[in-house]
Amino acid sequence: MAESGVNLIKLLVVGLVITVTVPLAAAELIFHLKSEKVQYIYRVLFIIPMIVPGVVTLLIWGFIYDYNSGLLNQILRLLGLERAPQAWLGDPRFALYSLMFVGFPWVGGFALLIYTAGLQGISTDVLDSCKLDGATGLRRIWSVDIPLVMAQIKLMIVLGVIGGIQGFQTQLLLTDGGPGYSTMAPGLVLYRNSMLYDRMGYACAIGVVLFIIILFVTYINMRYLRSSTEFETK
Amino acid sequence: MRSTELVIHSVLAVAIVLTFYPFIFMVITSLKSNDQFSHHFWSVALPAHWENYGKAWGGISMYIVNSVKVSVISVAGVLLVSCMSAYAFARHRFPGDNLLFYSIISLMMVPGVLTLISSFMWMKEFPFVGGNNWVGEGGSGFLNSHVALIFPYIAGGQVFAILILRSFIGGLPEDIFEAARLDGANEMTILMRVVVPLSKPILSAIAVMNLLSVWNDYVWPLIIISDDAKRTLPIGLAFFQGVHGTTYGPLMAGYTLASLPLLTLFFFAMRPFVSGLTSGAIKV
Repeated sequence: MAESGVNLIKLLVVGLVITVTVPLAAAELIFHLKSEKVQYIYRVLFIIPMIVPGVVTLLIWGFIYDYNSGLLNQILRLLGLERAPQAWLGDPRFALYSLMFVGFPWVGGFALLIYTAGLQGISTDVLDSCKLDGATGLRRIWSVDIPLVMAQIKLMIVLGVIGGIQGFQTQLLLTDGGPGYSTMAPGLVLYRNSMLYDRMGYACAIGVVLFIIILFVTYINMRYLRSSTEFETK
Repeated sequence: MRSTELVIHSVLAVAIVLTFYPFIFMVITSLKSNDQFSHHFWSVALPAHWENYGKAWGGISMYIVNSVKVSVISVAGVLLVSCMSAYAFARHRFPGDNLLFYSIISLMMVPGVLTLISSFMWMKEFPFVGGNNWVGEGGSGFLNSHVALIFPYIAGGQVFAILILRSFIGGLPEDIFEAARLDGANEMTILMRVVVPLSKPILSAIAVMNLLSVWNDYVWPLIIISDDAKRTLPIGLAFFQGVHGTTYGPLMAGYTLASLPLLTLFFFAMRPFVSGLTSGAIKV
């Protein structure tokens, strides 16, 4: 159980860093394109992977990590690195990092849609005055765009924490928490104790603890993080 | 200015190639025999083995049918229940209406992980079903049936749907309702002829949101369904993968077939998909 908590924190931190950087960068890049039609095409393209069932995506990643014929090891062999191939999901040194890497390059998904909606919500007045003041490119992104989509960034963080604390589907499909306990997650401990070992009481206790943590995160969000955008735009 | 556009296009193009490559690889591999897979790993190999799709279809068609059945009934149920209650909450005063509304909305604060076990026990010990007596003992209740999937999906999906529908219906001008009542329409007619047509965009977003979550759900069907013939697509596919472990052609053909229904729907109804995905993300 302790190990699963540590794994959870690692997965959460990496997951959150990814969520607030890569999709935001992609949304910015798309937003900076001139033609709205081209913007739309890019957005649709990045949405398509979300329509593919999650299980298919995960199983394909399971195949990518396969030792004998997986894509990753084949690439390494192609590059002539004969000793580099690993059993990515079967080795306790790599399994957790392999799970973090699932979904690379992490561009599509909800986050991109949410950030795009945020960027489109910035009024044209603000953007026009940026142009007049000569704030373009990175300067504008840093001091105008990012503060104005702060609400969306916080939303993604809160959703990421709430979803991440409960999630164990990736582990269930790819590693079953193993090898050993190297990829165990609290949700998976709950699942195994209730459904496999018939320890309902213990499993429910885990559920309640996770609920309290989630409630705390939601509370923080409502108390301190909401409505902070108005303040930051001043 | 032109050069920055060029840089942006190339960065995005690289991201798109990396994002799509696994899926393209899936489709290419789905047409290979095992021999072609080991000798022509990277390239397209001829002749294409279309019979892989036949094999895959034989393995997963049952799961697709089950998933279609469960998701269509669940989505229809969510729409029906949430339309009726959202209309009542938005347009009518009745004793305890606020209390009821807030008790439904407070369900949004309850995460799935907390209710997983209790919902399972509730389905297992449902009284008078599956050999259970009136206190829910002696049998297996709704376990191993699609009812145990559909009812909880409707119960879970309606919460957020009621919230957004109520605020939408509440925002409609009162004049339309008055006019309809003057013309002698009863409540059911108003609901079907006035409220539903006006809320179509929101209803389709709700439908998509629920369709995606039901279609993709993995953990709940995994603990409920034990018969192979009743498996929904996600758990059926994981099982299929266990059976076809190393015959990559039919395996990848199965993955491709499993992705097609929603992709087809997406290309026919892009707008509700995008709004359904966006508002679905905001749901906690």
